[in-house]
Amino acid sequence: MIMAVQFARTLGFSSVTALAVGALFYVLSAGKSAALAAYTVNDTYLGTVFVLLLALIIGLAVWPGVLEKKR
Amino acid sequence: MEDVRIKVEGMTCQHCQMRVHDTIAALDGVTMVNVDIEAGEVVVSYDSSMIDIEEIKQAVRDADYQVVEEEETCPVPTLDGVKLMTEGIASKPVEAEAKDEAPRPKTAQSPPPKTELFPPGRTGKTTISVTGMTCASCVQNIEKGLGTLPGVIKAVVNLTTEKAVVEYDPAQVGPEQFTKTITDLGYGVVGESVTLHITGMTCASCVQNIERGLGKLDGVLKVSVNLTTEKGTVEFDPGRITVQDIIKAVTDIGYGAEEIKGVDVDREREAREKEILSQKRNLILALILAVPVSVGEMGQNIAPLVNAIPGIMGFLGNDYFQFIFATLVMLLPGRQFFTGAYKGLKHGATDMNLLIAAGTGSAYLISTASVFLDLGAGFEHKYFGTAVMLIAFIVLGRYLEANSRGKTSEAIKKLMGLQARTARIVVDKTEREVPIEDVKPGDIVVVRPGEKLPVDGTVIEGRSALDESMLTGESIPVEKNVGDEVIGATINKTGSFKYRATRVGADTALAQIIKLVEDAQTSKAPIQRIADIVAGHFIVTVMSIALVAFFYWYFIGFERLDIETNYGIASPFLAALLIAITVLVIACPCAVGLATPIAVMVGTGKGAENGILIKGGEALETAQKLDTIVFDKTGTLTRGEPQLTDVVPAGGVSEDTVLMLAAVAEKGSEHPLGEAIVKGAAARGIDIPNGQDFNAIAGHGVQVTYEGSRVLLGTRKFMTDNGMDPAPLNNSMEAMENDGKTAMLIAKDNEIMGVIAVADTLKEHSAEAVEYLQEMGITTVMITGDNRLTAEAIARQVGIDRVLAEVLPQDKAAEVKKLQAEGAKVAMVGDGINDAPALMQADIGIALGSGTDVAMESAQIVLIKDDLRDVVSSIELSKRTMGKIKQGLFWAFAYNTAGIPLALGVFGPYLIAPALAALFMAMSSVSVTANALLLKRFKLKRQEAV
Repeated sequence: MIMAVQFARTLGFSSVTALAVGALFYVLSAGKSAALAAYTVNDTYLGTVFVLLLALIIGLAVWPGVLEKKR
Repeated sequence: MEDVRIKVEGMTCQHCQMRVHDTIAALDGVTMVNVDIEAGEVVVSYDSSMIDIEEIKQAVRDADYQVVEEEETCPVPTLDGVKLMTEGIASKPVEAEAKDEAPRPKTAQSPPPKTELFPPGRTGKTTISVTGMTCASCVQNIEKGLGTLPGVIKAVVNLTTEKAVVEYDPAQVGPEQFTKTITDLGYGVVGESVTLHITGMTCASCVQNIERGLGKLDGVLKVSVNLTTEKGTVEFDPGRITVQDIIKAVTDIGYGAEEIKGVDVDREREAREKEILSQKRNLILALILAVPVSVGEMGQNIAPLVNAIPGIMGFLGNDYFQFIFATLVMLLPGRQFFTGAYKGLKHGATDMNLLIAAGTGSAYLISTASVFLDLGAGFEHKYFGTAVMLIAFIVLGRYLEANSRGKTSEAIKKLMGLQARTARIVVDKTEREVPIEDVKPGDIVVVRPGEKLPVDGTVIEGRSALDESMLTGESIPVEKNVGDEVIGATINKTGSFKYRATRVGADTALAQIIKLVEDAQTSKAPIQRIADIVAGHFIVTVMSIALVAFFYWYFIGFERLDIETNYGIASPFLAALLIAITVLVIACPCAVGLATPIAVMVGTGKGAENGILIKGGEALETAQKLDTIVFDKTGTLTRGEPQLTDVVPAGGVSEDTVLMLAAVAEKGSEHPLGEAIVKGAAARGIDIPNGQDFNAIAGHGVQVTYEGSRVLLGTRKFMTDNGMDPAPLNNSMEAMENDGKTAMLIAKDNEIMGVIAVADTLKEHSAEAVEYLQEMGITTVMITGDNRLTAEAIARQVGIDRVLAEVLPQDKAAEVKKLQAEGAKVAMVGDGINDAPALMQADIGIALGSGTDVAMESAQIVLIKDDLRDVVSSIELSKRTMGKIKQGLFWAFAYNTAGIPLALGVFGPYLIAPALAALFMAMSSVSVTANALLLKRFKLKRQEAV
């Protein structure tokens, strides 16, 4: 139970972090897409998904330690 | 400004160390923090006007560590009554001669500050065989997972031996939680196995009854009962059921059962073989599936090669064919990475599975998406081949690594293989061949020429020569007569003999050596901890680098390097993705985690094969730093028993006459000097008649009547008191005494007949060993309770640099301490109980196998052979092993240091393909392992030279 709660907290923090990084990528990519033809909408969407996932994984690895320290 | 030293409990790793450090350092008023994890202490400098000690302690408590108040801290263990074993946990009374020295054991297992809470003897320690670990991060994950359980004092995980050693408080935690934690983290635990001798079975139904009955028990994994051998093997989860529960269950069913104790590594070998087989299957499957996909992906680039088969390229390059085959690779050989990553991530644990899963998963997903969705320009090319080849290469690496790891434990396997399977014992005056497990202490064992001795014992009839080379490395057979001790696993070369079994099963010398070597191989060298920490943080760092690289190549690099023109990749996403994947794959730190444990395993194994038992990585690491070696004199440098050395006749009589008269005087004497004279005479074939009226004058000599004459043997004063003048023989006597010998005058009817001398003689290789050590630049010191004259004489003979004479047994440790205070890294070589404190005080204690159990328990290195040249060999072995560790770490870090920038595209237009990165990464582990295995070919030259 305790572990499940900890995991849920970690997942929450990681998701927020991932969304923030993903949003940053999306905004920057959208800007690039508007300026250059080589940058398609698909690039932006897929890139955002990849960034979201990678940031989520990093968050899941980093946040437990951070939360533990704060406790 | 004040300084305070605080005892802190619960720090188990570098993370704890950092956490405690950071917690205290963050407090206002704290100016300096120094955390000593080994000692469990924190030294804090603080401004008392800004913060007080209680606030600092509270901060430590808030960080989930316990502060031990000074009165609670455990006393340093002493030899005064109780001595800590080398393991640092178990304790037993020792008849220590030394009372006033309290050296602190300096092994990594030094008692933690928790000793007050977990007093010696009440702590638990369990070893768990873990499967599924692939790199140093796995080690970190498990250590961290176990370390966070309340009641766990210390958890040490070894990647190479695949074992976790957990020290814990049984009142708070137990093996069940350990097993659960490890499996929750995504790793496997090999169950324990017990072999029972089951009585009362009469038919196959009995077998069924027992198997069914035990099979129902919670925690029993597998049962196999054999009616003929009356044995049952039960594999069980020690966290859920104990051996006692199993035995009780058998007796409840109506049969008798007792545990057969002995050495059993079959299970672990099976687990290792299973792992190798599993990776082999994965590899074959991955190659069968990956090659066509990869060929299809390469398309027209290799078309000329496959044009021989019309239409093949069209088939292999078909998107749906590629998708199906790639999916199979992901689901079958690749599944291990995804399940491992998922299980680990659930607990915030990261390992190489995550890197591989992220890398291959991304390539697979984007390719799958482009097969079924119209992603537009730039997404025509699929990367299934990249994903599957990544899997194939990494599985290849794992397969090679599993094979190599198997080779590192060959020393243990060799030792295991030495054990005899059966024994011939005398039962009711007839000889019966029985399984070795059935031999009990007290049984009479019969051994014929060429046979292997099944257990340890004492010869009671017959004589022979035994080949003990398998245990001692000494190739010359050793003569054994009635009363001599024999060791199981040695080979009888010549005659038949009978001996009484004294130690069987797990108590035999061989079993204990195996245990010692296994323990040593599980322990960690201090250098490994650093590597583990680095590797543990590496994964997240690499993931972050990959993310940054993705951003860079997406937004900047794609345009700057004109990827579309130069590499034909039209999509900036795909270009950045491939580089991110390459970074993820190339940076795996498995070689970093493997470098140290493999070298330690091979080094300790090599030592064991040559009769040098090194009790762990720390001893191995410290031994190469030694610059001073202190030798105990008696029993270590010398044989420890006086021998006849000189016979100088006077007045025209022969040497034999002088010796005969002296032997007559000492015949029947129990004094070591007297025994030496009698033995010396007998060795020269002199017949020793009996004397009469034997009279010993304490401190002077003996008087006896022989053939009516009065024979005196003793000191100068003894002769002077009896009216004789010893002056004519004074020169001879002084020369002998200057050589450390005990000289005695012999007189018959008030006429001095000559001088004889006895002395404790040097062991055969003492001088040679000292010479080698000096060649290596090591200072040699002799420590003895003898007077300076005798001590210096012995030192001259052996070539020792420095003599510490007239040292009381209890002061030996203090003398070692003084040398350490001079800045020396000291090894103490000894054999006696009274050497134990000094052995523990020294940086490295080296005990001779011929010595006492106490000495061997106190030492970090045990030399099975009574040969001091092995001191040299152990230092050489230590240096070689550390050399291999350093080489391994260097290359492992070098691979990553070179690989990551290469993958990042730092070197301009030269980008590395993801599949090549996988091969690069796999080869780094294999090459580091192979380099460590070269240590097996290292010859202990000092011995070979002789």
